[in-house]
Amino acid sequence: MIAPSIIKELTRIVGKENILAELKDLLSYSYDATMRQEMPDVIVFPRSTEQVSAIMKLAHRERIPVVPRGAGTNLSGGTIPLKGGIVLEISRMNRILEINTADRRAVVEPGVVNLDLQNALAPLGYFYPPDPASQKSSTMGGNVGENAGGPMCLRYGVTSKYVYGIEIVLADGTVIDVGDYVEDFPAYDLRGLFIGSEGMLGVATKLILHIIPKPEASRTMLAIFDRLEDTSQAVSDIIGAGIVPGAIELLDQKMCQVIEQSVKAGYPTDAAGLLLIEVAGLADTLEKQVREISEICQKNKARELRIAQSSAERDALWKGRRGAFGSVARICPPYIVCDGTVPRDKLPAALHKVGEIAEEYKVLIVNVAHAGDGNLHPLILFDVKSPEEHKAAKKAGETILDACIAMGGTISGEHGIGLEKMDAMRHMFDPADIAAMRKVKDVFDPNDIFNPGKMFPPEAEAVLPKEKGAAR
Amino acid sequence: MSTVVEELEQTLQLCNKCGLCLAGCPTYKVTGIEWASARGRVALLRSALLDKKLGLDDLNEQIFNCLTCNGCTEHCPPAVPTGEIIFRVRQELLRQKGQPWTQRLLFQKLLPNPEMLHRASRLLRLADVTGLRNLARKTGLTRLVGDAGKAEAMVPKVPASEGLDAIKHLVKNIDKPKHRVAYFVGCYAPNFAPERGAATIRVLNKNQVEVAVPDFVCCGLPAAGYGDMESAKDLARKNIETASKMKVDAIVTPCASCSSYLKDYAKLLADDPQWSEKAKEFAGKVRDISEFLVEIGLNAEMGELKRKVTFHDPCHLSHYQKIKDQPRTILKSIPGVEFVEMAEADMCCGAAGSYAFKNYALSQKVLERKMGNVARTGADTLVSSCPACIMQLACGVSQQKLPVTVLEIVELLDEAYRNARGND
Amino acid sequence: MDNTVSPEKQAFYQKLGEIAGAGNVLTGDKAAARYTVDGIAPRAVVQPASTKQVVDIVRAANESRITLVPWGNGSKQHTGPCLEAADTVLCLSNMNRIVELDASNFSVQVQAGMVNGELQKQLAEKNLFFPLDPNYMETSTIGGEIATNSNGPRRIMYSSVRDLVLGVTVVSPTGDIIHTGGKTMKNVAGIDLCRMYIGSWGTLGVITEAVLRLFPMPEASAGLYMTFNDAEDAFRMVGQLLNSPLTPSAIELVDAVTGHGVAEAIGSNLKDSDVLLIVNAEGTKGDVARHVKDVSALAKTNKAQTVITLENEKASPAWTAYRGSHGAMLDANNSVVQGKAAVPISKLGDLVQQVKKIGASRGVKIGLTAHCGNGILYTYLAAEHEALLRITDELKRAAASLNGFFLIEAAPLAVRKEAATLPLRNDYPLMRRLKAEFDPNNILNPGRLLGGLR
Repeated sequence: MIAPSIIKELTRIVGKENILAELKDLLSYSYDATMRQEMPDVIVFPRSTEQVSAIMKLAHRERIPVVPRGAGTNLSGGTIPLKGGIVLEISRMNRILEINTADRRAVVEPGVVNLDLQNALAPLGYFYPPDPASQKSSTMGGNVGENAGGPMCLRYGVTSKYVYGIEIVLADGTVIDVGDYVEDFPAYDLRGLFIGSEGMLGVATKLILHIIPKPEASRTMLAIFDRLEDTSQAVSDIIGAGIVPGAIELLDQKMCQVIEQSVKAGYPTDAAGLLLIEVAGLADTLEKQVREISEICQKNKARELRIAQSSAERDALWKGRRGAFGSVARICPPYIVCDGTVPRDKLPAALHKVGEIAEEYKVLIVNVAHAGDGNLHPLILFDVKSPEEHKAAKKAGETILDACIAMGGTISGEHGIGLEKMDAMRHMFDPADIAAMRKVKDVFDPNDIFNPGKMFPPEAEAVLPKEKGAAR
Repeated sequence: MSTVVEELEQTLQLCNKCGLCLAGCPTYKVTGIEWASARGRVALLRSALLDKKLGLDDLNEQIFNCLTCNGCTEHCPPAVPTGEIIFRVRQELLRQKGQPWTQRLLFQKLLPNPEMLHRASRLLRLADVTGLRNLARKTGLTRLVGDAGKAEAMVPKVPASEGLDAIKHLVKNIDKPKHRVAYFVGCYAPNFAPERGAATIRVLNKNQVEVAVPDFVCCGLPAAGYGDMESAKDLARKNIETASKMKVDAIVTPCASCSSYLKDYAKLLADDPQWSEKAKEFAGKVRDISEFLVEIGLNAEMGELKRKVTFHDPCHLSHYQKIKDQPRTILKSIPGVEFVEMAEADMCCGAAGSYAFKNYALSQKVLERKMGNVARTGADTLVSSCPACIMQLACGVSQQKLPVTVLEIVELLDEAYRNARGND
Repeated sequence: MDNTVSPEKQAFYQKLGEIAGAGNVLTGDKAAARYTVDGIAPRAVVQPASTKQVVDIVRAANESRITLVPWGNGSKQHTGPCLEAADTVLCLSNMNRIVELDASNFSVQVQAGMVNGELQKQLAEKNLFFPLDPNYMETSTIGGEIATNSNGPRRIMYSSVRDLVLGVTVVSPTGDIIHTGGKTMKNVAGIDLCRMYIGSWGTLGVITEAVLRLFPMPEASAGLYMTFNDAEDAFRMVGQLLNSPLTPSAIELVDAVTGHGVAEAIGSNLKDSDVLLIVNAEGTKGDVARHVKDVSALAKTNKAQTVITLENEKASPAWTAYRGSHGAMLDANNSVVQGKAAVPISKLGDLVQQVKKIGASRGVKIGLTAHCGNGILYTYLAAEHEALLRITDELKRAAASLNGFFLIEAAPLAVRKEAATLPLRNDYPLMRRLKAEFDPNNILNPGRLLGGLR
């Protein structure tokens, strides 16, 4: 519960058109793209850094939890207000402030939707590479909070490579600028720490992004295989040959069947594995790459290759992949999606292991993966009305993450820890590692105002004793 | 009788909150509020109907400020039919709260009776001609009825018109017709824009199509939009009966909302054993004007029009009927026309029938976004294919003082045909 | 041993021998000789062989409040803000091997003391390379490069070291082993501590191992060497190059002062106002050929006087000469002051003009090299102390007026003490708290990095 006087004060800060607190409002902001729900106490829509700062000063003074939120499309519970409090919704701070192609920079407010930025850059011949599947809804602020990935990351890299500077409002309302418009200022990489910190260190109010010229050309192809082993081996061979495609996405048979039920992308439903491959670069040399990849696929017994001949065909090929997660809802709305990542050459073994785990726990698992960088997305389906199935599905997910760690990988390639993978943190990190992360949290947000209760497993509550050193 | 909960339970649970619908939801885009998105409305309806956390009428605002444009469903991989869900819960709210007398008057007395509707429109014309309407605005009388008062300003001056009869008089036999169609005139043209009715007939004639104008009544969409399914069904049966007495190749209309709803008659009367077959047959004959002209092969003997043209896709044309290419094919085939595609061309304009009468501010916000997109094309002509859209867009253009003419596609075609050499 | 050393410290030095073996500990003159840094002679130098040894050393140092200076090969030890204290040098040169090379996954785990050049040699055997190429890579260590955010020309194509490190193992100042990152490129588990340690100048922890991102050796390469009479033409060309879908692997600029070695290597002559632009390309034969074609065309339309294309190994002599220019400048005169400026990419040409003006007005020759695709400029000049300080101020103002910064890197001690500073930033308090949190006793590299911000 939040005192009416606080609501009054917040209303004075943002104006009554920018604050919501009725039951239906709180319900609307209790969820994200996961299945969990927790009620906030109030939602505010600031329009400026000054307003954000004023909100934080108030929240800090009263020790009210604050959850920064963009479009709430994250897949880890990152924007669920676990301890209630204020949802700080940045969707109305959505201006593109500057695009400077000569400097290769774009400056945006955090509420700018990723795809809207792309559409603004495209006529100038530029793009911002990270392209999460949520890009048509997700905001740049949200992308930064989760260090979003996407298929293009294989060739171009992830969000942390493309965010050069961030204006951050800290828990006590202080406004700081981390990183820079220019490169190499000697300082601690606070912007690197902030990216992927899942709304726990502060709230971004301005982003300085790195943009690059679009590749001259791209070619998209679909390779269809009769065995999953051949599919993942083809991935290994392509990367092993030194080719760095723009993207290689892998879908298994069950995933294709699910997609075709909803999206009608024209994917085959009787093939064990599918690769969606896109290469990008200079036009004259692209054909050779396409040939090389085709040869490799054929060597791995691909039964069919479809090469897109137009941008419409390209969009059609991508349509199914981009609708994969949502299609799963057609047959099973509450699914668990894992985000475990393994070194790429472990992909065949990892997929095989996922199949074994599915049988062991008797759950249906459909697979899509950013195969080029070993980022799996097994989607585990279960009957929401059956607690036993839910439990089995959860256990299957945990087992999959453990398997990823065992293969030298990580529990999260791009979705973040949030609520969903908190327990798994203990399997991946030593107490000393988590203690170091907590130190960073303590430095930024000593009173745990921002997004409390996320990321760190509860047992690690007792950190290493703080050593207060010599006075500064 | 199944309850609304039983009917909607499974559908509501199709949503897995991925949030992709936010990309296609105009009310979300202009407010940034979660419950103004498809995902948000579905989630709140779940909270009300399945989780019983609040009552359905606590959500009156969210249920009625949905544009039902279906822009969301296009982005939704499991294709949650949010528009249909909204229609169903409006029906439920109507059942719970009863129907206001104004709606009863409109849906049960006026819309089924074009003659009476025409007379009502003459009353409004009288108010125009005598200056009463202006007076009501100036004295702030219109402001007393809230949003309806504000929205009233968007309805243009009522022209002189003899209603459906005037349009019927324009029907003539043509030499060697290749097709024969029934022209579904709708409620708007006979009362507010008879010239458009004339243009439609001329364009069809130019394409060797003989036109009949039977006594159709309102298609029923306005009633359905307010949850009055019984009135909608009555109107549907009337129209199907009227059509069954004719032998035509197609039932053609230039109003996207009408063509969309007429095509839905099969679904509307699916549970009525006496009418389901006839409804199916009827629906199968319905064509939007662009759809029809491209299907039969558009007569290319047009004169030149030097215009820079952009097209706004009516929701009922693009999202409901998936008709997007045909209007563009037509526009691009007019000599002299430079066609430029606007951003978010298929995003709702905010008209949504009588939406502005209850949600004026939101309608304006959506319109403002549309006008920004129009302005950025540099076009001098904005074309669409639905009277509600046209009215809304014309209003927006006037508000923003854009140097843009707003036209129905049939009007532009009509102009092109009349410009051809050796024509009357 | 020096009699002025406290018994506690004495015990510490003894412990060093127990931890790392007496043969791996230097004291007295031997320590001072090679490892005096910023005018301070360390009392001891220890060379551990494992992370475990590093842990024990750091723990002991922390307990005894001994300041430690992590050390690779010292390539960047005499640059930037000065150390405030340097009791013991923690030299990682014995931890210099590949721990695990995962060729098929394009990653390698190395010990921090591994010399970059040596790593490249071993990687080349597997037809791989690590695209970090600072000019002194033949001697600098991976750990040192990571700690100092040292980069080279290849950054324009492969990005800076911040994006090439998949994970680091660090011994914290309180003696804990912190594992960050991992082996995979996609990794968002937890707070990204790996990024925190990169560029932290040894003040938050001692990097003992790193996992690096590798690339296959390119099939072909080429270097284009183009001279321009007017720097403006060169920068116009750079702007056009950057605005194209070409992906060069280097865009470097030298002038008559810094470039005479390169000029000689290509048989050219650089007049006083000339600049030499070097553009490299690497990748498939087809890509390289396309780059050569397009870059030559751009050069010609931008009034390049000469365009020399050198394919594959033929470019070695010239490129080696270019990479040697930094060392050559510093060796020429031991009072040379080397500075570094960073401005928006489109403003680099303006900065060069302003720098030339400043030099001219003060009667001082300022040599320049630049990473043109990143807005980074290196300056080299020699002058009297007072004049030097004034010029430094002018250079700082010039860079600031273009929304960038300028700092002194390599310079005589007196100059660095006064002028190796940068203006305070508003995230400075947070950085200080971070330092205090991780190194409460301020034992690691006191004075580095944050010491320069004032």
